[in-house]
Amino acid sequence: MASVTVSHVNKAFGDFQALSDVSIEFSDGGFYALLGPSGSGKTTLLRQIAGFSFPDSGEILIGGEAVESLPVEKRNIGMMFQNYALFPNMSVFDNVAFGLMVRNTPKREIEARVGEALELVRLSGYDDRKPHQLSGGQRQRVALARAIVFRPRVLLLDEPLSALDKALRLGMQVELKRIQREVGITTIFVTHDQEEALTLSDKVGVLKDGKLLQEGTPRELYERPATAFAATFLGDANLFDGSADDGELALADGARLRTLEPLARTGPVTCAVRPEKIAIVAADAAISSDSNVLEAELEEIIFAGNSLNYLLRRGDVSLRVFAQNRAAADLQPGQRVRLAWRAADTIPVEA
Amino acid sequence: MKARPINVLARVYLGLVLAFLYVPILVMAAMSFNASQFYMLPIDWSFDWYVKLASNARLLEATRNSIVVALVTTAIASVLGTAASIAFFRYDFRFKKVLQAALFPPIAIPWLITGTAMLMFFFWSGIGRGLHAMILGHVALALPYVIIVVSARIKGFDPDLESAARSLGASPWQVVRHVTLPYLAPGFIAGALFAFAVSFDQFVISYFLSVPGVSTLPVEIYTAIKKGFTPEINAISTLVIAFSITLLVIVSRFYRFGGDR
Repeated sequence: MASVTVSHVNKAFGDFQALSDVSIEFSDGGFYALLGPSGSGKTTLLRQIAGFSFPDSGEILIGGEAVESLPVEKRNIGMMFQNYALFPNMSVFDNVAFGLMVRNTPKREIEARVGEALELVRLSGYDDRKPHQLSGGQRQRVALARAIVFRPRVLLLDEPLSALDKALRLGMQVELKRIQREVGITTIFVTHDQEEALTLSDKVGVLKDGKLLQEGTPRELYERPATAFAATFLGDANLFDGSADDGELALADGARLRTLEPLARTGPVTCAVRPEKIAIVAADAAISSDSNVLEAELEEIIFAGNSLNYLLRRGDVSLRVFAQNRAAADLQPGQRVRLAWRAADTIPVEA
Repeated sequence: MKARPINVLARVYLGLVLAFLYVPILVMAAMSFNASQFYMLPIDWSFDWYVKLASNARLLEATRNSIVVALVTTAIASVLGTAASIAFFRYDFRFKKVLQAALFPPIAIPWLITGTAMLMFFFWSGIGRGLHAMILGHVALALPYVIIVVSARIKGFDPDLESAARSLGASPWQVVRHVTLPYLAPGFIAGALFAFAVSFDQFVISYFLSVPGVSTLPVEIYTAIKKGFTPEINAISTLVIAFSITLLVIVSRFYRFGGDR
């Protein structure tokens, strides 16, 4: 296993700057998610690390060794492709054995290691099947076994779960995490699915327009997004635009919100509040002193079984509130309601 | 289950198609074993015509020429055609569309016209006539067929398979050997069969490009029939058919054609 260091990497395709000055440290044994919308550069970055494409400038180190000019086959990485890319003419065994075969591993060792790998992904006994005889989830397990059987230094996953339906995806998330922990391999995975990034990884990097916007643990990123983009791309967020006034956020209509920490700057400020942090409270409810209170008009209630999704409006700003389906108040659209949340949940972000 | 009228019609139709395809061949094969030169029935079974064939130097020489020309044509056309198909699939270059479109007219232009044109060109350019000229002509004819057949196979190729093989540590040569070629093999074999058939069947162009004493089997059969039909022709034709069928059976045992992978 090894750590991966990407420092000051630039990559352009013609006029399009796919990566600009990206630096990330992927720690040894960590599970790192590169999250971003399409065109954010996350796949380009993965391809630079894999060695399918080479950066215009900057350095890539795997286990301390500079690899940016090595082709992919010399980097000793394992990669899982979005469509799995299993070799259709080979059996499950031969697919998994491929990385060992091209390394001239002795036959007996190949058999033992392929057996172990298939056991790890819970596909023992499927050796002779052809890929077209497997379900989507099984194909994915084969692809994973194939990518780790030769003990690569890094495992790269390109949108690994996007081809599966939702029920299967949840199961595979658990599996993937278990296998990654058991093997202890440094794992970098690319996804546009924020939920996947949050549940699987222990560190997330958010990319946009070829730049690394923010990185941190899933919790840090979710609770303390640094930009309005990170706040809305990683989960839902209500954004309040206003200006800093005496350390508080003054909205255009005169309402004032207290923030996580008193605002140090002046001028226009945007704050994000997660919809589930906001409560709809009764008009006469006691509000603790460290809370923000705002009135809004309820426009719609969406019933989602275990939760309720309130759509509200305050002036020309639309707001969302999520509530557990537990003793929810009997509210009607058109009604004016009071919203309350902790000042600490009001996060100033860069617009 | 009772056969519905439409089913009966369909069966009759199928039966007729098969009959028109195979009955003439069966008759010919049967007659090659008939001692009577005048196709008298009942068949008087014998191998006379095969024995006579064995001493017919002209026909045997022509058969040998046909096989040599067809094998050389197949080797050249299938390698060039496969390379061209890979290039069309993998690379974008100027005039790619024009080049691809230019492949089809030779298939549509009557061989008689192509043959005349080749004869004139080969004469004018000093290439002349003979087996080498036939091989050149056959390769030109077979190439579009190979490219079309191999391209049809390549179209379904997922380039990620090559990326995957590389990520697993395969050198460029190992990628070609273990991933690309095995995938292409059925297309390559089918293309090679086409090339062989185009060349081995070729009459018009071979006729134009043959010189006295050096011709191919179809040309020789044509010449022989003009002079007067002998059942030796049936014998050699039956052998050729037996050879073709054997080849097809062997190939289809190794490769299932169609959509499988």
